[in-house]
Amino acid sequence: MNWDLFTRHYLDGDIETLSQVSEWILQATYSFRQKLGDAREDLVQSVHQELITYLSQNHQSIEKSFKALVWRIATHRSIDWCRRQSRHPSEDLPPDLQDGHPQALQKILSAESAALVARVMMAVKKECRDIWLRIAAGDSYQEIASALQISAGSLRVKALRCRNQAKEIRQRLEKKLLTKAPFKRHNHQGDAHDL
Amino acid sequence: MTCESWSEMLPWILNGSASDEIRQSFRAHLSTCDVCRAELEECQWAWRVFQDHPPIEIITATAFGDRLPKDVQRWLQAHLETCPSCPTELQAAQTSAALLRKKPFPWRNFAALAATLLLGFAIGYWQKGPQTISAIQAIDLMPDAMRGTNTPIALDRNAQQILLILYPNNRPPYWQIEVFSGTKRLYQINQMAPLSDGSVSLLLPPPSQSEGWRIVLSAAGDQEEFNCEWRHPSQ
Repeated sequence: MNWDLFTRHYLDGDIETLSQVSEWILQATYSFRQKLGDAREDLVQSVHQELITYLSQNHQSIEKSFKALVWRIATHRSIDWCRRQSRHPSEDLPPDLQDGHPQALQKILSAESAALVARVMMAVKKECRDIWLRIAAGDSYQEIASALQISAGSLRVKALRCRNQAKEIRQRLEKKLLTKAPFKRHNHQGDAHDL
Repeated sequence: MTCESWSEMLPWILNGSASDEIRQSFRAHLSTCDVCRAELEECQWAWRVFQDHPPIEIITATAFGDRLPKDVQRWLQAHLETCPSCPTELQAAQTSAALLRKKPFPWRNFAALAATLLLGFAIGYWQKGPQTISAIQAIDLMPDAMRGTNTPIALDRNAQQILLILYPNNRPPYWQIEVFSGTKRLYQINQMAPLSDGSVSLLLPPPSQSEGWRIVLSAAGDQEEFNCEWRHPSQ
């Protein structure tokens, strides 16, 4: 299959190509159908939107299977949707910082980026995780401060320190990556490397 | 508020618990402050780090067979042993990945079988006369409610049979299947069990002309409909 040509037809809005991609998205989300319910149709449309935006803005040729790309994104979004149902709804972010933005999409395709997040998760302190889990649950700073028996000001400072610690760990790991394997970094196809 | 103060407030702006006044004020500030935009991105990243569950990308990478670092694999495995929801997520992702890799018909095996049969014809004579090898065209179909368009399916001129793989939304123990062309019922199967992934396969002769088929799956309390338009190679 000439994926370059297929992608061009897709971006040109060819009906048969669009229909084929819709079928793929439906197949990829098939195992999540019970949980997604009616939201599955919306998910099909949002994956299309993400793909079109990403491909239009990145202008890169698809060397590997476009079908595999669609499958991954659709699977990722299905899991993301399922997780959101159990999370407290968060603030509407500016468009370029929302999850569906092409820059966010690049993270989906990069197992390296995910492995980095995982390694930071392994290294952060339990105290920090406890504070942030309460934040993710939607608790106000007054509620959390009261539960932890500290002042609201101390809590905000602690949360910021935890965030900065996570950032330092990440920067240390990224630096280690660069010094360890300087010639293995450039991979845009989402393949994982040993970090 | 200073940027430092905004930075401290960010987690509560993001989780929606800050007052409307603070959130609106922050949005207005964000439109003019690159420092705070950068802080917001960092805060989002931290949000991912302090989650209770592994990043979704780790789950999909595992499901699609990507090579992950060994320490990350061990960490994920330890998490899966105690988490009530991630194993289900991973299993669903693995089923999805398996569907990507699924080949509707084992063409290599078919070619090997064809070669063996041809050799058999060359060596001996069969009382029943020569047997033909059918070419099979495989098509995946989703329920009508899910499909945005009903693009005609071009029949392969060499296809002597079509393998329709249906993906219903529900999963009863058995389906009754009826295939209609217009009001005329072409085929009926009274009890067909779905496969482990819930799909149902039908091997049927192709239509002799361009026409529409309506495939109705019925089970106690459930009914799902699949429609397809065939485009015959002669037309």
